[in-house]
Amino acid sequence: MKISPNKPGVREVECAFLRKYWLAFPLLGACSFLAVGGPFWQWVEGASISVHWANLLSWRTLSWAMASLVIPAIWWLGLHFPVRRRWTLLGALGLFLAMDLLLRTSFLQVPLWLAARTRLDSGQYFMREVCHVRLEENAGRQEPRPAVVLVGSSQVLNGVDTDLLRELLAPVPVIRRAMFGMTPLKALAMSSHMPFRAGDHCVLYLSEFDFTNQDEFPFAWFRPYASWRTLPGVLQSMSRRTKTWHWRRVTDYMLAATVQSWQVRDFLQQVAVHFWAPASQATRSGNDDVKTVLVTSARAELKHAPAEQRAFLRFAKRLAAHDVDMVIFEGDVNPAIYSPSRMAAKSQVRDFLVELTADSGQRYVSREEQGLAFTAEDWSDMSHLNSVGREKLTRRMAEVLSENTSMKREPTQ
Amino acid sequence: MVRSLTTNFSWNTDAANMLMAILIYCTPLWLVQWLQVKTGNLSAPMELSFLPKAALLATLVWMFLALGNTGGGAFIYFQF
Repeated sequence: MKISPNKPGVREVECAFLRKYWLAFPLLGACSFLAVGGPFWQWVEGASISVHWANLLSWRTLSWAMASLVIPAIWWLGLHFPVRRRWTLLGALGLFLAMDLLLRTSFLQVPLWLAARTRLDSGQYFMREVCHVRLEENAGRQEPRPAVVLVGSSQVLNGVDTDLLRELLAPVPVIRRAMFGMTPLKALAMSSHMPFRAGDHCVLYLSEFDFTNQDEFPFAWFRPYASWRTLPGVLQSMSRRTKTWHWRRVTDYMLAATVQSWQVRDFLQQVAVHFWAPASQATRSGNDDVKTVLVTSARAELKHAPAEQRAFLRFAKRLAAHDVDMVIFEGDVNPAIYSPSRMAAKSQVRDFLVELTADSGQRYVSREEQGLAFTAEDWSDMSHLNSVGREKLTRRMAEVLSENTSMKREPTQ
Repeated sequence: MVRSLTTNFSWNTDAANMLMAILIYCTPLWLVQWLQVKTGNLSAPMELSFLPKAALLATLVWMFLALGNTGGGAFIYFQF
């Protein structure tokens, strides 16, 4: 809607802008190339930035500056040879797809996860672990030998000393794919980010803790790991009522599996609002009230989550399809929260896992076989082992895994 | 209190971060408004030529998806 007839038209403004500032494009192109060489990585790491302006005179910077002239050239062509609206929309779609595809490449993935990790505060455990997983994924799996892949929740992160396990199992590689809050349903959702190969051992630490009182649709957890390779299985594990009730979350999850910009949005926003410097180190989760609520919740009546059991069956099938052996350690919690309902649930989950492993020829290591008999002194809280308990469990885990002769297979080609 | 609100400024990393966030989120809006003021035409963005219009549309969609507020929060894990 034209409200000032005396002012120039859009075309005149564009032509005047191009005439006046066309040289800014190669100059900005040269500066951006200069940044990629060093200052960019200093910014990613949150370090002070130093620019070597003398590098502006290199042939590579000059050629990048020349390449940047393509932008005003296309702009000029667009001004002199107008196209129909549908071509502009197609051009916008193409540019958006190019941006999204570029975001999937390691060229942007590595700086994104490094920058996000640097800018997280100390209480953002989950996001920090996502950065760790995505960076490892981008680095690729170098060691050809079959590995031990640790899968589980914070009980595994706190209860297994990965460095000690590596030392005890050497030269077998140990890969950590445990995440805070991971349950079988979430493990299934994340399985496309687990670098399984034939001959690997997937080690799990499971108890009633993982199969009860779970969020019906933890979409914010799924989002950074969303993939169309696992999404159908995850949705099929849920009841129709859950999917219908949480249709917005289903949409969010599907969008994350399709569009990378949506999948990594929590991390991009973290970088956008902490652009220059890391976040303050205040711990978000240090609130005693929150801890009290969660401890009360841990002691509350347990409600079984059938979706977790269905998801676990799918996860086990997925491992079998990849020729990956499963070793399940029966999990435990602090005896302080034992209750009749918890012991009943523990027994039900154990029966389910024993039956499953017996049918599929997988290994189930019960608490009796572990012989660890954790006491209150082995726990740092209601569900996580402390350093004493961690060492006990890690050493026992290494013994069980070493006993398994298939760990001595030759490297796969 | 009014005096401290209006005069107690200091330049620190938090201020730099906030300024950059404003720049990132508001630049497309400022560009569109600059064009509208310059041409006196409220629908000027829709009359742009091929490249700037395609770039503006793609950037807005990308920013909506990557940086937009959907009312939800990032997953925060509470250890207990």
